[in-house]
Amino acid sequence: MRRLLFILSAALLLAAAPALAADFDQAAKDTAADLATAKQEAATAQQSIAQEKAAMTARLKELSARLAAEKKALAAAREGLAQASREKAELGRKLAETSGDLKELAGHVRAGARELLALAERSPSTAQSPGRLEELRGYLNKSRFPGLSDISKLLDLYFAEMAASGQIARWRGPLVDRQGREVSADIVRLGSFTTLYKSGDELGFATLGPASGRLLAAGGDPSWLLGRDITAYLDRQSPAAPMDISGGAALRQLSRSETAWERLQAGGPLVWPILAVALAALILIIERLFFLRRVRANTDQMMASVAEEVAKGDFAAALEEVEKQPGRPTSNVLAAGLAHRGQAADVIDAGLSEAMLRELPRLERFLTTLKVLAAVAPLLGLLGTVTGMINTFQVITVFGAGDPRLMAGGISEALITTQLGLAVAIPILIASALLGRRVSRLAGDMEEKAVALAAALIKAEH
Amino acid sequence: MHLLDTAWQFFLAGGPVMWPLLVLSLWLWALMLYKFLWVARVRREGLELDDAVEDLLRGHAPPVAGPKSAALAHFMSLPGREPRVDTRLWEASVRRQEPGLWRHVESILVLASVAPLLGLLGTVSGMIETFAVIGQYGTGNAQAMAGGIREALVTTETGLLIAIPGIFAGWVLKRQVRKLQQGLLSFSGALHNWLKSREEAAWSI
Repeated sequence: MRRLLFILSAALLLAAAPALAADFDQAAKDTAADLATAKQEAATAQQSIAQEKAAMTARLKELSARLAAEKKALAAAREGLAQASREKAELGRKLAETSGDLKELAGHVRAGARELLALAERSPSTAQSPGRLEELRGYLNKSRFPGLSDISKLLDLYFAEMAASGQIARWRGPLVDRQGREVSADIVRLGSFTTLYKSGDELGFATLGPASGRLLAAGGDPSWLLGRDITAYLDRQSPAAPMDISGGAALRQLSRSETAWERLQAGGPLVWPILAVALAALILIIERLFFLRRVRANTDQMMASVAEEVAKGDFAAALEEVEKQPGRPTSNVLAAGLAHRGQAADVIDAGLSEAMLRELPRLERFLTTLKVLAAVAPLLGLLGTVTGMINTFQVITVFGAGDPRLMAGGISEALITTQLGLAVAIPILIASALLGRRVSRLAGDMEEKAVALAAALIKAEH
Repeated sequence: MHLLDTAWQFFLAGGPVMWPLLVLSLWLWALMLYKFLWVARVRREGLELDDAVEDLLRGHAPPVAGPKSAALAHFMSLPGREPRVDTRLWEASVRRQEPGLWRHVESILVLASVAPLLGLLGTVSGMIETFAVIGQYGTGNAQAMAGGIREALVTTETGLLIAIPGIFAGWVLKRQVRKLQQGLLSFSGALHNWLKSREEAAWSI
C-alpha cells in the first residue's frame, strides 16, 4: 500500500517537473529529498513489512505446529475412545452375565418358596405359625428381589417344616368344626400326616384350609371303631393313633363315604320296588318260620300213644290224644284217618291221602312266592341299572364323553340297584331253600304217620 | 405263615362281601365233608334180604349201619306188629328213612349256587367303588381305581372257587344218594313181598 502511494507520488512528481521548471532544482532537491525520504520510508516500510512477515510466518509456523499437536492429541483421544468403548462392551457383557445369574438365583428362590408354599398349604403345622403362608406368598411377588436375608429366612422355614414333620404336637387352638363354626379344640398333630382334634363331643380328623391356613374338620363322621381309637389316643390311653399316610387322600375318601341311606337314594326309583320285594320276602319268611315252628311237634310220641289207644279199641281216647296237638298237619291227618275207622282198608287209605293232600298246600304256601321274589329281585336291579345307564348316556349325548367323571358317577349310581337286587335275592334264596327242606321233612313225617295209622286201624278192625 | 399272610391279604382285598363268602364256604365244606363221610359209611352197609328175614324171625334188631338196617330196626321196634299190617308198617318205616337220605344234598347245591351270586355282589360293589372313584378323581387316580377293581375280581374269583367244588360235590352226592335210595327201595320191595306172603297167610287163616 505504502509502496503504491510512493509510486503514485513519484509519478506525480515526475509529471509535474516540466511545469515547475523554475523550481526544478529546488524541486529536484525536494524531490530528491522526498525520494530519499520516500526511499527511507519505503525501506522502513519494507523493514516493518519484513518484520511483520517474519512475525506472521513465525506465527503461522507456530499455529501449524499447534495444529499438528492438536491432531496428534485428537488421534490419541480417538484411540482412547475406541479403547473405552471396547471396555464398555466388555463390561456390559459381564454385567449381563452377572445379572443373569442373579435372575436365575431369584427364580430358584421363588420356585423354592412356591414349593414350600404348596407344602405349607397342606401341612397342618401351618396352623401353629399362621403368618407363614403370607410370608411365603410375599416371595412370589416378581418385582421383589430376594436378598440374602430372604434366602436364609426361606431356608429357616424349610428346616422348620422338616422339623415339624417329625414332631407330635399337642395344643389347644381354633378350628372350624363340621358345622362350620369356629371353636376351640384340643388338637394333636402327628408330623405333617394327620391332625386329630376333639372339641366337646365332636372328634375326628382335621385338614388345613389351603387359603386361610386354618384347621378345618374333615367331613364325614369317623366310624365308631375309628372314633374309639382316636379317643384312646387323645386321652393318652393308647400309643396307637389312626393316621392318614396318603397325604389327605384317605381323609377325602372318608369324607366321600356316604351313609347307606344316601346310597340307596342315589340308586334311582327302582330302589323302592326292590326294597318292597325285600320287605314282602321278609314278612313271608317270618310268617313261614312261625308257622313251621308251630306245626313241628314230637309226632313219634303222639303216634305211639295213638297206636296204643287204637289197638285197645278206644278211638275216643286216640282222638283226644290227637287233639292234644291241634292244628298241626300230622294231627289233622290222623284225625281224618280216625274218622274213617271201621271201614275197608282201601277207604282208609283214600281218606288219609285226601287229608294229606289237603294239608300239603298249607305247608307249602308262600314257598313258590319266595322263589319268585328271589328271582325277581336281581331282575329289578338289572332294570334299575339299565335305566340308570340310559340316563348316563343321555348325559353323554348332551355333554359329550370328554369328562370321564360325568359318566362314571352315573354308572356308579346305576350299579347300586344291581347290588341291592343281589343283596336282597341271596338271603331269600337261602331262606327259601331251608324252609323248603323243613316243609318236605314235615310232609314226609305226615305220610309216615298216616301209613302207620292205617296199619293200626286195619289191625284194630280185624 | 407267609401263605397265611398272603391269604389274609387276599381276603382283605375282597372287601365286606368276603365275610358272608367265608361263612358260606365253611358251611358248605362242613356239609360236604359230613355228607361224604356219611355216604362212605352207609355204602358199606351190606344188609341182604336173607339176613333181614333171619333177624325178623329171631326178633333181634340189627345194628344200625345205614338206611336199610335203620328201617328194619324201626320196624321191629314198632308196637303192635302183626302179620296182617306188617306191610304197611314196613312201608312207613322205609319212608321214615327218606329225609335222612336226602338230608344236606339240596343245601349243598343251594349254597354252591349262591356262592357265585355273592361273588357277583362283590363285583358289583367293587365296580360301584371304581366308578365312584372315577367320578371323583377322573381316570387319573389309577391307584384308587385299582382298589375297586381288585375287590371286584377277588370276590368273583372266590365265589367261583367256592361254587365249583360245591356244585361238583353236590351232583356226585346226588347220584350216590339216588343209588342208596334205589338200594333201599329194592330191599324194601323184597322184604315187602316176603311180608305180604306172611300177611296173605295170616288173612287166610
